[in-house]
Amino acid sequence: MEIRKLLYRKETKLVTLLLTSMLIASASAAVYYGMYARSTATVAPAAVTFTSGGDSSGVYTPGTNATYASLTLSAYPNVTLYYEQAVNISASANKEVRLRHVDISPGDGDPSVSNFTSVVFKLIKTNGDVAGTLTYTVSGDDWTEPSAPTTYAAITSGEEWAIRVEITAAAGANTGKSVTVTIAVDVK
Amino acid sequence: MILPEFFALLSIDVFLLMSLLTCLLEDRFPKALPYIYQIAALVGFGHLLVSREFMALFGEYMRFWYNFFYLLVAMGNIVALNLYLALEKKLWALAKAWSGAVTFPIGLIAVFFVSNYSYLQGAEFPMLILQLGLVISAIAMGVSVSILLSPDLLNKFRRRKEVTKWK
Repeated sequence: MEIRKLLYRKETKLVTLLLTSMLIASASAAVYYGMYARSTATVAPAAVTFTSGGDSSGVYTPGTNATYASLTLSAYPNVTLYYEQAVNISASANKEVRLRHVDISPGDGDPSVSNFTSVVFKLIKTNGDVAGTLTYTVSGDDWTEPSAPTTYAAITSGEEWAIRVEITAAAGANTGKSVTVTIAVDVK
Repeated sequence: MILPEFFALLSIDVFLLMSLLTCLLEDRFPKALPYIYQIAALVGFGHLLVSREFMALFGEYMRFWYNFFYLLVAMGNIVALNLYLALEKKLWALAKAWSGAVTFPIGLIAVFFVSNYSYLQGAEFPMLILQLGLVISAIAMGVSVSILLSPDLLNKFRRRKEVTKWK
């Protein structure tokens, strides 16, 4: 009987409601905070950007914010052409970088593929060491693409590395044939 | 920058506040009302959870409108309680106190955050109405606070009015 009386007392009701209110309010605030933290994204300058290299003249076209680059390279039949510094990458913070294959066209089975022998991209450190290589070779009318990205290599803030490109066209290659290679520089 | 779910969070707090107030004034309100408001707050909590899970799917526009609707429901309840005290129970003093201590301050907070959100997000919201609401709520709240701090102010005002009438 006494317990029933106690349950119906205003103070008991109020304390119960106060406790459940605090629980609901704090749980709701926690959910909102979780959503807020999940949706916050701050724009900052890219830590690794493309810059002109020693062989970039007439070859390299920078993209917006220098976060992508377009290279127009030449190839001669039965000759390997080296672009020692086709484009450079510059770091403004300590990061790790690697090269990764994205796409190549014309694709496998296209007769124009046989006009090329190989396309090689090398990531060259400041001291001249090779940090990674992506090699594309031709077998008949098919490309043999790199099976995996290069391993991540540490680049320190202020360093500038080169991307070296080596292109070999096949003996007797037809003039005007072209290949478009898309690669990515992954940064972490 | 605030997320549209902030309005749901605000509404949950409003429902919880009303639950506690109706419990304190339980002689003047139906007995079940505090619990109904607790359930309304829990519905809002569920609402937040659903919003979190489907955040990308729903999009900012849709999220704003359903959260804003929930805020409108909460605000509507405050006004309804105010009218219930004034018209149904004829408790004029309590109704005035409720409007000064609950309706207008919460209205001020709600209008402030809605106008802030619509300004930052560039939402097509009637800014003039919002600003008008903000000013009216601020004035009503200011007057209420002044009367609360010095109750004689109202009597002085009444006396002056009577003197003017006699002249």
